[in-house]
Amino acid sequence: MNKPEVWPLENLSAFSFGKAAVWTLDLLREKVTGRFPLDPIAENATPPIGLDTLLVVGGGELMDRAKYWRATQGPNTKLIIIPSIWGSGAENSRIAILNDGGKKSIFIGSEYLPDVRSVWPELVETIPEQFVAYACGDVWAHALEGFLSPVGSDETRAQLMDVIKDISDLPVGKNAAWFEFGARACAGQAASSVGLVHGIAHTLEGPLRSKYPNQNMGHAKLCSIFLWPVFSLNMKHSNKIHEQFKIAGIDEQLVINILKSFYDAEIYHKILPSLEEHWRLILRDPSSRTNSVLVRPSYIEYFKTADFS
Amino acid sequence: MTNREKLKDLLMDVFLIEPSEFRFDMMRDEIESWDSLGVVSMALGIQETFGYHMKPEEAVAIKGFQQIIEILESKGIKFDE
Repeated sequence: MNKPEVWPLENLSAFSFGKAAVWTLDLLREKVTGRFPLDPIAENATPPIGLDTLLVVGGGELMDRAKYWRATQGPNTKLIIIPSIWGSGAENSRIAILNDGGKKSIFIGSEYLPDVRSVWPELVETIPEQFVAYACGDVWAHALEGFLSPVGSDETRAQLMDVIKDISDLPVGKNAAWFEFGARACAGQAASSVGLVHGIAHTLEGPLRSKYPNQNMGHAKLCSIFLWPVFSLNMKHSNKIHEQFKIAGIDEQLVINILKSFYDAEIYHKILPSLEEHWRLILRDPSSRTNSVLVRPSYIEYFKTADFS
Repeated sequence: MTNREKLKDLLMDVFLIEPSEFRFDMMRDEIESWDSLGVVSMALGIQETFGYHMKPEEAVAIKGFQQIIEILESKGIKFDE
């Protein structure tokens, strides 16, 4: 199995789940069990052994926990996933990332792919506008860094080129079309790797969540804030990006304008001291090491001195 | 800056080697960060610094820094300044 099947939500409502449970975010439980009357599993619990079907409705972290659980505890359980928001693309990826007290473990393999994914557009209405915008930034980070990755193949570049062109025409905001583009961007980057935006997000997420516990310093927000600064750095040090965009027929100025729209100077400058403090760790992050240009230690000065407004 | 100095700076940046530890006769098995991603970073840096696009199999086969000089010299990039 290379990809999960995509089922319309109506098919899912008519599906015979057998012995089943639904694992969802606590804040969505009432809504989800109203539509799918299955035994609910609390957000922080784990599913019981011996299920025929596990339905998961949630964000990237819950989806990844479910994928890991199915691979290790329930290989005979059918795993059906409905993302509550786009961005992580975990519903369409062979990668599961577990976050254990700030330490991330990455698992890769076809056993981590769900069997079925579906889209429930109405769910996004439960998400605040700013979170939705960050989720769009997350999709952009996957598509752009995957497209520019030095270890990408012609095939993944072609896939991600199409995603970039499609999302260039899609306004940032609540639009269910982002679910499909998020899934495609994630599948593409999983095959090609990502870059410095992700190296920064992976390294700083834990420390920033501890430092600012009530400010949602999560993956999607960090990717969104650093998209434009990192892209700007990459363009400064290599003409390759201009050439790649030209060959692919991507409107470079349009992309730049969109990336700039995710930038927030106030948040950026709040994060900057942590960027400097953890810079050596960021350089060692595997994602940073597959950035489209070589990330050199001295480049921290660019982040400290450039004006990205 | 000579090509030798440029290469030294590049390799120190790619593999995060301190200036006091750097030697041109260093071999791959002495450098912890010279893994598969290190090979990617090294090839990327050589292209950016010297304009030479190293083939993947060529980059993977490199066993030490001196060999990089030999490859670049064979492409007309001089290191005897």
